[in-house]
Amino acid sequence: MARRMLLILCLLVLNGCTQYIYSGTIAGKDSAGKDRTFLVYWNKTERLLWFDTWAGAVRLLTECSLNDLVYEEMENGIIFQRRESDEGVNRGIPLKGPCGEIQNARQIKDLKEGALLLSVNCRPIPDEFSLTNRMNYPQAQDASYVFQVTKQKVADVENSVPPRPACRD
Amino acid sequence: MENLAIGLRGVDFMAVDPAKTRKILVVHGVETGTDQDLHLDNDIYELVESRLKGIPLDFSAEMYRYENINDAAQAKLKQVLNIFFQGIIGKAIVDPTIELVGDVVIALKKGSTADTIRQGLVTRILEIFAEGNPLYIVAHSLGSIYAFDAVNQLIGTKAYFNRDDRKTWPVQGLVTMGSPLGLAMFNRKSVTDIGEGRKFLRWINYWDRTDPVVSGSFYGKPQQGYSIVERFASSSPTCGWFIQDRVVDIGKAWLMAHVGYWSHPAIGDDLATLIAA
Repeated sequence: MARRMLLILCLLVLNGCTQYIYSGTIAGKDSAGKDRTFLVYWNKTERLLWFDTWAGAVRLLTECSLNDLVYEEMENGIIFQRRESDEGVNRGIPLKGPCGEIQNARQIKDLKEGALLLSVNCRPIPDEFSLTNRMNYPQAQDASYVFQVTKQKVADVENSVPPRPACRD
Repeated sequence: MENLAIGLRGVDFMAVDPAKTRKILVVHGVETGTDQDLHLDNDIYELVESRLKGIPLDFSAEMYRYENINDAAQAKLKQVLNIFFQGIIGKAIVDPTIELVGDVVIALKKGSTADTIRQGLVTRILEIFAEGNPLYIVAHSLGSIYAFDAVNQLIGTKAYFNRDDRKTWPVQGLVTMGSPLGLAMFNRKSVTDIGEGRKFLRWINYWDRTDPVVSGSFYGKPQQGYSIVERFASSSPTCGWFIQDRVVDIGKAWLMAHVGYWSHPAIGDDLATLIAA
C-alpha cells in the first residue's frame, strides 16, 4: 500500500505536462450562401509519463452561428458524424455517417501545424426548435477546406481557446 | 390553451414551447458539504455564456441539489465514527470520507435514499415541463446515474416522449460528464426505447482518458477505445436515442481531470449547439 501511494505521489509530481492550442481561420460561404469566417481549434496535452500525449476533438465554429461541427477521432479516422439536424448534400449519408472528415491524419494527436484539410459534405436541416439563422456552417463542397493552423503553447486550456469569430451582421 | 397537447394516454398537459427560455438542469456528482455550497449551475451558465460571443441565446441554468438527502442518510454513520475519531481528525478526514464514499454506496444500492433522490429529480423535470420550457440535463459523475435513470423512467411511463413531437419531451437532451455509467458495478446496460418515429433524443457523454471515475482505475490507467455508453443504444428502429461518447482533453490528469469538465470551452461550445438546435 505504501509503495502504491508513493507511486501515485511520484506520478503526480513528475506528471509535468505541456499544453498546446492549435487554431486557424479562413473565409468562405456558409450553408446559407453568406460570407463568413470559420475557425478551427483543438487542444493537445503532452505528458512525460503514464498518461501519454493525446488531444481533444477538432471543432469548427462559424461566424454568426451556434452550430459547432465536432470532428472526433473514431476507429476510421477523424470524422464529423451526421446528426439528425444534418443531411448529406448530393449524397445519402446515414446517421453517424461522415458529414465531413479531416484528411491529414487518423489520430488528432498526429495533426500538426500548417495546412489542415477538412471536408464538409452536409448542410443543416433545422426543425421547429432550432434557432432561426443560427445553425449554418461551411457550405458543402467537393474540395476540402484548407486551414492554415498555428500551434501555441499555453499555460492552461480554459483561458486560451480562441473565441468564435465575431458576427458582423 | 394553445400550449396544451394531448399525451399518449389522452391526458392534457402543457407542451414544451420552443420560444420559451431553454433551461439547463445541472445534476451534481459526489460532493462534500451541503446543498447551499453547490453552485455548479453558475459554472455551466458562465461557460456557455462565455462562448456565445454576443450571439443571442435565451437560456438559464439551475441545479438539482441532493447533497442534503445524502447527508441525512449518512448522519448516523458519521456520529458513530466521530466517537472514535474526535476533534480535528474527525472533522477533516472522517466527515468528507464518509460523504464521498457514502454518496457512491447510496447510488449503488437500490434503496430508499437513492429512490428519493431519483424521484426528486423526476419531479423537478416534470415541474419544468409543466412550465413549458425546453429542458436539457447536464449531469456530472455520480449525478449521471440519477439523470440516466430519471430520463429512462420518464420514457418508460409512456405518458411522455411521443417520438415525432419534441413538444411532448420533458427532456430535449442529456449531457453527462465524467460518468461512471460504463462501469460494471452500476449495472446500466441499455436505454429505454422511445418508440417508432424519426426524431432522436441526443445524449452526449464527455470523458477524459485519464479520468479514474470513467475508467474505474484508481491509479489512473487511461481509458482505452472510443465507446463507453454508445453501446447502450440498440439498432432497433424503435430505440430513438442518438448517443455519442465524446472524448475531451481537459488538460489535467486523474482527479483533476474529473472536476475539470465544468470549465472546458469546447464543452461550452457544444452545449450552445445542443440547446440552440
